[in-house]
Formats: sequence, structure tokens, C-alpha cells
Amino acid sequence: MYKKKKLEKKYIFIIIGFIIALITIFVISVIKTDRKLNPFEKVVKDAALTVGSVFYKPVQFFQNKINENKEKNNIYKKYKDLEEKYKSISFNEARINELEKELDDLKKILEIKDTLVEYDKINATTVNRNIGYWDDLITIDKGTSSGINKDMAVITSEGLIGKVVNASYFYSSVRLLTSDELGQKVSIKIHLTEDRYVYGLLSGYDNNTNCFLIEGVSENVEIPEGSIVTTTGMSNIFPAGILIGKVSGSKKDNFDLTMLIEVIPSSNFDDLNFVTVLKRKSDV
Amino acid sequence: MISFIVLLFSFILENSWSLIFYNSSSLFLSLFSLVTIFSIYPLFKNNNKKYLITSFIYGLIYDITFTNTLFLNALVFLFISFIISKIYKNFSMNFLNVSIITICLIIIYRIISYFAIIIINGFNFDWLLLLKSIYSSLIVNVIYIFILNFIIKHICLKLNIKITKY
Repeated sequence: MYKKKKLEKKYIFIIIGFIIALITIFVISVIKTDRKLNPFEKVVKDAALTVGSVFYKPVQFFQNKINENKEKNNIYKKYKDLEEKYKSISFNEARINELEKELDDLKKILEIKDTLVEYDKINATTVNRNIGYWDDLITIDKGTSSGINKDMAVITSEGLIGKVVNASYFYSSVRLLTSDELGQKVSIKIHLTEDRYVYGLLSGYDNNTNCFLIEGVSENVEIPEGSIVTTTGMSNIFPAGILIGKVSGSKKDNFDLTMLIEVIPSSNFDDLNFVTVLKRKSDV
Repeated sequence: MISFIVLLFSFILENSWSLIFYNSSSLFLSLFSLVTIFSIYPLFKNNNKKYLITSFIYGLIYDITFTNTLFLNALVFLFISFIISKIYKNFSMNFLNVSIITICLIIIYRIISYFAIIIINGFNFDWLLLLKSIYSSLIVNVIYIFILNFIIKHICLKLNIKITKY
């Protein structure tokens, strides 16, 4: 009788242990921010963010008015800067047209459908920013209904900022490159001269220096400060040639084993009101 | 009904605040939803069960809308509201106590959510980041809870709604 009771107790412990393990697995799988949203989550997210956006509109109106007033003070300086830039635009436009024509001809000859540099653009507005604090997420007002899917690259006019981690019907979450998430390594190349590159991996972000860290670069190569860093396109996510930043220096890692290149981001991560999602043509 | 309106208001305000005042070195990080849970307890008139369920659902919506971490904030909000229900029974709510309790709740929330995130996502533990997340959230949220308490008290007086006094 005693033995039977002891046996039953043992089974109860096993069942409880099993249930706890199941719950733990379930919780871990649902807490991950880059999982696919279920229909219930999509509906709740869309409804809540739509309500939030409606109330934000008047605030945004006044915010824009304040910004406009601030901008007015710099208008003459900006006009002069733009005038300088405008002079070189016609020359660059003609050159780009010529290169595009050349590229099309070469693609026809080689029977290539799309290259790594080609993408469609979807413009979006940010509706909230990093409320959870740890994940460095922004939410944008375009979702699957606008053709946005998981893992699409997101840029601003200044350069790459992150990738889409999940999307509901009308909104998407974007994880920024400044996030600590380990899975987000970006293949990059550093432009040494016009036709000489060094390849590496963007592996993290240093919160103290506000710089990206690049690893996997050969120690024998001298990398000058100010070298431009762009994506290589050697992944399913980021198209080639997207600007990331400029090299600001190098240091050894904590174990003194590998060289880490520090890169100042080209994008201002404090000002991400308008972003563009890139849809790679080679994925279509 | 008032509690629902207050929760909705804080939810919308938190969304807008994140865009208007966001800066990586900002000292004004909002946790309006969390401190609102503390503020609305008297409106539930000792109905702890209703209060806990409301906090859980509110946390769940917060999870889905803002952080994508399903159940993390729901469980943390539930735990914090349980602590709040015990606090209200043992402390009087004066200026000093409300400030200290709000600060403690923010610290508890940040520590639990940070540990959950680093365990699940494999982030490197960073004391400075945790410390920064705490001190950056203190000023604005303590001010917010005083404003919210003041408004709730006045609305309830105007509308003759009885609230539990402590």
C-alpha cells in the first residue's frame, strides 16, 4: 500500500515536471520577438495601433509646425547647400542613366533576371519607438497588405537601419541594427579604394562609443579612417550597396584575439520618423 | 469605466510619447502603462480578482501591440498588480510613499523584464544598460503618477464615484 502511494507520488512529480517543461518551452517560443504573429495578435495589434495613430495625428501636426519654425531659421544656409549639390546632379544623372543602360545590356547578354543591387521601395512612417526598451524595435505603418514581409531590409535616406522582424496586416515591427540581438549579423564590405574591398561581418553595436563593430576582417590589411562601409548583398535579407557608415578606428576584442573595426553609423538612430522598406527583386 | 478610460489614455499617451520624446540618451522614458496600474487600484474597490484580471489583459495587449513578447508583460503586470494590492493594504498613500513605491515598481519591472529578455534572447548582461533603463524612467513616471492621481481624485469627486480610501 505504502509502495503504491509512493509510486503515485512519483508519477505526479513526473507529470508536474513535464507540464512545467511544456509551459517553459511555450513561454520561450512566444516571448521571442521575431516569431510569426498569429491572426489574433495581428488583429489586436492593428486595432490598438490604429487607435494610437488617430490620437497621435493632432500631436504630430503641432510637432511638424514646431519643426517647420525651427527649420525656417536655417533656410538660407540649406538653400546654398542644395544649390551646390544641384550643380552635380545633372552630371550624376547622366552617368547613372548610362550605367543603367549598360547594366541592362549586360543582363540581357548574360541572361540574368535580377542582380543583388535591385530592389523595390516601400515608404513608411514610424508609429512608435522602442517602448519595450530592450529590443530596439520601431513599429511602422505598413504591413503585409502593402507587401511587407519578415526579414526585409529597412533604410532611411542616410543608410541601413534594420530589418522587419514581424508584420501584421497594417503594421510591421523593425529591429534596429543597434539591437543586442545575436542572430543579426550583416555581411559588409569596406571600400579601401575604388575597386578594392575588404569583407567582414557587422556583429554588434557598442552603446558606449555609439559605433557598430565589425569582425572577421584580416589583420594584415590597413583600413584607413573614413572608409565607407556598405552591405555586400550576400544574404537573403540586405541588398548590396546600402550605406552603413564610415570607419572611425579599430581595436582588439576582449580576449585580444581578433581585430574589431569601429564604424560610425551614417543614419541618425534618434530620428527615424520616415523609413523605407526594401523588397529585393531577386527574391520576387 | 473610469479605470478603462485611464488605461486607454495611458496606453495612447505611451505610444505618442515614444515618438515625441525619444532619444537614446533621454531621461524621460515612459512607463505610463505600468504606473497607471498602480494608480487605478482604488477604483476597483477591493475587488482584487477583477483588478488582477484587468492588469493581465492590459499587459497582454501591451505585449502584442508594443513589444511582441507574448505573455511577458502580461505576467509581469499581473505580478506587479499583486504586489500593489498588498501594498495598498499596508501603507498609507501619501506623497513620499507614492514616490518610493513607484520607484520600486519601476525597478522591479525593469529587472524582471531584462532578465527574461537576456535569458530568452541570449543578450550579454550589461549592468550599465539596466541601470540606465531604471534611472531614465524615474522622473517622468513619478510626475505622471501624481498628475494621474490628482485627475482621478477630481473626476471621482465630480461624478460622485466612491473610491476606496487608504
